[in-house]
Amino acid sequence: MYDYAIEAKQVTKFYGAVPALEQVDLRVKRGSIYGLIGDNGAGKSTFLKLLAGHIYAASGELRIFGQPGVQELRRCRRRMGIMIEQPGFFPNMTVERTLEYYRIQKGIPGKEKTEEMLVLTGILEKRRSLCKRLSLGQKQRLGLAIALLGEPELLVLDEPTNGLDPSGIVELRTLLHRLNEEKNITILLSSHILAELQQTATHFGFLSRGHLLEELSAEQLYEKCADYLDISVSDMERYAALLERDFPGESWRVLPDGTVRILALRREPEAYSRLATDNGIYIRALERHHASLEDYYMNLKNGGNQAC
Amino acid sequence: MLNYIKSELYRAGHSKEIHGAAMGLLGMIFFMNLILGLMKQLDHFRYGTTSFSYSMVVSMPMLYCYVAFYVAIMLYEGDRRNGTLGNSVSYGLSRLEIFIGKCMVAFAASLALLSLALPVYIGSAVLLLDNAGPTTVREFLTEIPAVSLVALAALFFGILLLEICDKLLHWILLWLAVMVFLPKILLLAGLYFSERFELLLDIALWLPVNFFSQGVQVNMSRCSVLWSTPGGMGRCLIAGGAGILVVAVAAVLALRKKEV
Repeated sequence: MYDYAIEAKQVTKFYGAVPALEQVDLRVKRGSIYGLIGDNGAGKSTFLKLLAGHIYAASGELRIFGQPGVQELRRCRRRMGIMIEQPGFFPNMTVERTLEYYRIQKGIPGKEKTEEMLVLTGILEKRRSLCKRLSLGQKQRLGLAIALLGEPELLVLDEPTNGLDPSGIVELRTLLHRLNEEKNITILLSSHILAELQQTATHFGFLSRGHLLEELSAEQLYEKCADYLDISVSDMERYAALLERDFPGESWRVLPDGTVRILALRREPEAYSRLATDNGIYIRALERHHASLEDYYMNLKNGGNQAC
Repeated sequence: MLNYIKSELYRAGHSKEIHGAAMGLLGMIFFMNLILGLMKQLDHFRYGTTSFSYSMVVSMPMLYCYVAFYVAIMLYEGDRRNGTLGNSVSYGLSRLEIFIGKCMVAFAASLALLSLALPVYIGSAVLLLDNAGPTTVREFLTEIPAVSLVALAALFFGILLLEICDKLLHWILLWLAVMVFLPKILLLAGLYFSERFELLLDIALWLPVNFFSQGVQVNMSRCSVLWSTPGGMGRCLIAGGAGILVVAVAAVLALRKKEV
């Protein structure tokens, strides 16, 4: 069996003369939850639309479940559930009939599947409501229900938490984890809420201005975003010299405001404060930080390749 | 594609817009005959006859194209805006498959609409109006096979434009331009240059809006229709068939790599 659910090789897409994606190489491992991160206009939706078949790449190769080619991709899309931008539905049809329409279209036998999806996504009580009367969050849930019909092997969701209330976000996260763990569904999702993505995804891809900057796993990200310590002391030069002498191999740098930043902590913070006080240096401030996905992304986007 | 057709039939069967349009059409037909029936009591009112009622449709064969145009709007106008087209594409259907499915469902919906409208039209005319005048139920009924292919071409062309055009206004203008305005311009040009280029006029007279207006003469004392002769009926069917063929080729070319 092919290891990757999605594989993009040198994929390029232009909107007129403007490049939206440039030679993007991206791989989504089977069974993973892949978070696609990027600003507006970074190319996230363009990539997802390519996957969905809404648009065509100017060059490069896109494989879904290892299959390339237009016809094969179409066949593979039947094993996918997709929700891009806003969910598609008929405003004057009820929620239940909309799901029934898609159930028939996907050739899924059994009317009970429709109800199953309504329960799973928490919109059962809205079954008789017209789609146009739903709130944004309920529309997102309906979109998710449509995407989940037919038990897809790959789920592609663009900003799925849009419009969801806090409990809806938690429910969605739980649902995605459950689908991933119990049914081994591969999930590719994009979101602006990086803290949310950090809690959900097992792998990350960072897009900026149509370029894929980096791909890494949650473990790699955790390592790269290890703790750091900011120490502001009365004699920075002497403290730096003490760090060199007593803590060789330590990774640190002096920030423009004179604060010493110790990266990838190897010792407890007390060791660094003792080093100062034992040598007659006063500590003005000492703060321990843990870099978030947001910090990492901002650092990466600004050209950094170090820990945040 | 079969599942897509089934799902679209399910939607058409449960669509409030379609039910509303069907009820509206039937009500309008009945109301028209009812008004004529009530007014025939008046002195000097000559229009309370089945002939006058039938002549409304017989004298305007393009009416079937306009109804087809409306069916296309009713069924598929919001597909792109609502994101439902995108959903179907995401599920692995090609744009051409979607187009063919839509054509078949729209054809079925039009047929259902016609099968409801015809008995109401003829029944209410026979019951409420005097059976007199040159236009009979024969002209009325033979008009349907005559215009069927042209109306289908108009319907399929409308659906194709909906698949291509982003804005409804562009879509309406394009449909009207191809179905009505350009043929009329061609006819005028053909008449103007008829002495030098006979071909232009010949081509113009093979376009439905022109041959229907030239070949149908219906008034209170006379009813002469194009499709009453084998030649006229042939022209209607050939033009309609050619129209469907042109739309099919255009669809294959236009939708092959059309993005949503």
